[in-house]
Amino acid sequence: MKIELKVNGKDVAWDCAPHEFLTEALRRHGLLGTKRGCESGDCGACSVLLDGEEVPSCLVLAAQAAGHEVTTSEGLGDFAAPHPLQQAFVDHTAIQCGFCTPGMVIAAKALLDVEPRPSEHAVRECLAGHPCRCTGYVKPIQAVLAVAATNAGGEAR
Amino acid sequence: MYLALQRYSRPSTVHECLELLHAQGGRAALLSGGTDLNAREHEALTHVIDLQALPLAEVRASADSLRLGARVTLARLRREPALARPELAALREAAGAYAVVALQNRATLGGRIMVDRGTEDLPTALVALGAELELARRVDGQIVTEREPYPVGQRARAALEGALVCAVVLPLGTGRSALRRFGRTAVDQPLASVAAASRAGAIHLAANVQGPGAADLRTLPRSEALASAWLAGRPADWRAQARVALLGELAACEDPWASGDYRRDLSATLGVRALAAVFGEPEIV
Ligand SMILES: Cc1cc2nc3c(=O)[nH]c(=O)nc-3n(C[C@H](O)[C@H](O)[C@H](O)COP(=O)(O)OP(=O)(O)OC[C@H]3O[C@@H](n4cnc5c(N)ncnc54)[C@H](O)[C@@H]3O)c2cc1C
Ligand code: FES
Ligand code: FES
Repeated sequence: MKIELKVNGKDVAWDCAPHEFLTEALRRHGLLGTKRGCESGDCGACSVLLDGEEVPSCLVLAAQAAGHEVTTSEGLGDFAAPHPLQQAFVDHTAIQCGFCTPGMVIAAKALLDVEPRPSEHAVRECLAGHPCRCTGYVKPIQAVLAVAATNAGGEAR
Repeated sequence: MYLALQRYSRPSTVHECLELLHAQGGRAALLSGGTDLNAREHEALTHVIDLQALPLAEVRASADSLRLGARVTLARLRREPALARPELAALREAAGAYAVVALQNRATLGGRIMVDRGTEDLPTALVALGAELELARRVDGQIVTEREPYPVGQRARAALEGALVCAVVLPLGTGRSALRRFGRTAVDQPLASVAAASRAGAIHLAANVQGPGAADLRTLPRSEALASAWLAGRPADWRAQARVALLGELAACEDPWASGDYRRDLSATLGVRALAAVFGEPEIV
């Protein structure tokens, strides 16, 4: 079946099978920042923004995303022009193997978009669905709070 | 993993939706947020019918009731201004107890109701709050819409089979409500949860995970009658009396996560706390 959606700001029309999940469709189109982890909604590695809200792309059929807007970590920034959150994760050494990082950055982006100066509790709640085997969580929390501290009440970016 | 799925549909009317469901028999399923259906028990399905284009995401408040469309997400329940009333606190608390943000953004009321295994917070709150369901069914080729009390017990829940949940309707008045729950971690399903609500001069109670040997949701009529008499004034030892009444009405239910005695005792404690919150008294003395 053909689905039309907006991915990282671009209108696309993709062929996909009815049973294909959004994670697979994105990865098949080269968007490898969206990780395939538990595939059961438990790990947050596959998180993307769907119409601005964080969702687990492993539990969304690609067909369900038709007519909607999807943003992956590639849509936030890249090596040449990273998003402030991506830069903050690097600056705070909040990345080790990096498997959980795109999901965490997406979750943080969704939070800062609606709550530019969140409390530490809100940041912890936002990252709660993103288990990380490497960093011990303190550094990702510090990275998000550092970006929030530069927000004067407006959007992070 | 879907092994047999060949067709995805997105109907825009309730009629079309139920016709599609009927035409495919047991090999089609309604798909809402997908946090349950897309995760498990879907291997044999050949057709999913996505509810997103149906007009089921509306929240409508009138003087005496609140109608929540079945596609309202749990994230929306947490921030919906129409729920910011003391009498609906139990519902907000139940939605807030749910797993993690990304799942709250997808999971819907309708899906939560249909996969109610008698062990969850949200149905406990809905029962104490006197919720009714607006259901659409296909009967003899016609689409029939009815309003029914929230199903309590496995047999009543089984009767929802084949129905489309369109909305949840809650009575509004001036009471208070509270849900008290306990789970081992923030993302575990609760070991027990109890909801209490005051409405129209009476107390309403619901508890989960209390069936004899099996998880289920139930009301607690004897404890309700006792607590209702305390709305106007309470004896000094009301907590002790409530605890005895609750223990007498809660059956011990054991599973690998908790012994029956522990769970019954925990539920009685949670019940007393929920009642204290509804009476506006300290929960811990
Ligand atoms: C990792 C993870 C964690 C979870 N944590 C929790 C938790 O903490 N608390 C909790 O309560 N649940 C939890 N769940 C379970 C799940 O998220 C809930 O059951 C959720 O509310 C289902 O809603 P949905 O909209 O995603 O339903 P779907 O998955 O779309 O549908 C579930 C079932 O309901 C039927 N259905 C859906 N909508 C309707 C309707 N309007 N009318 C008739 N039938 C309908 C579908 O046919 C399907 O059989 C968790 C699930 C996962 C994967
Ligand atoms: S891969 Fe989606 S939540 Fe783990
Ligand atoms: S950086 Fe390795 S899992 Fe988080």
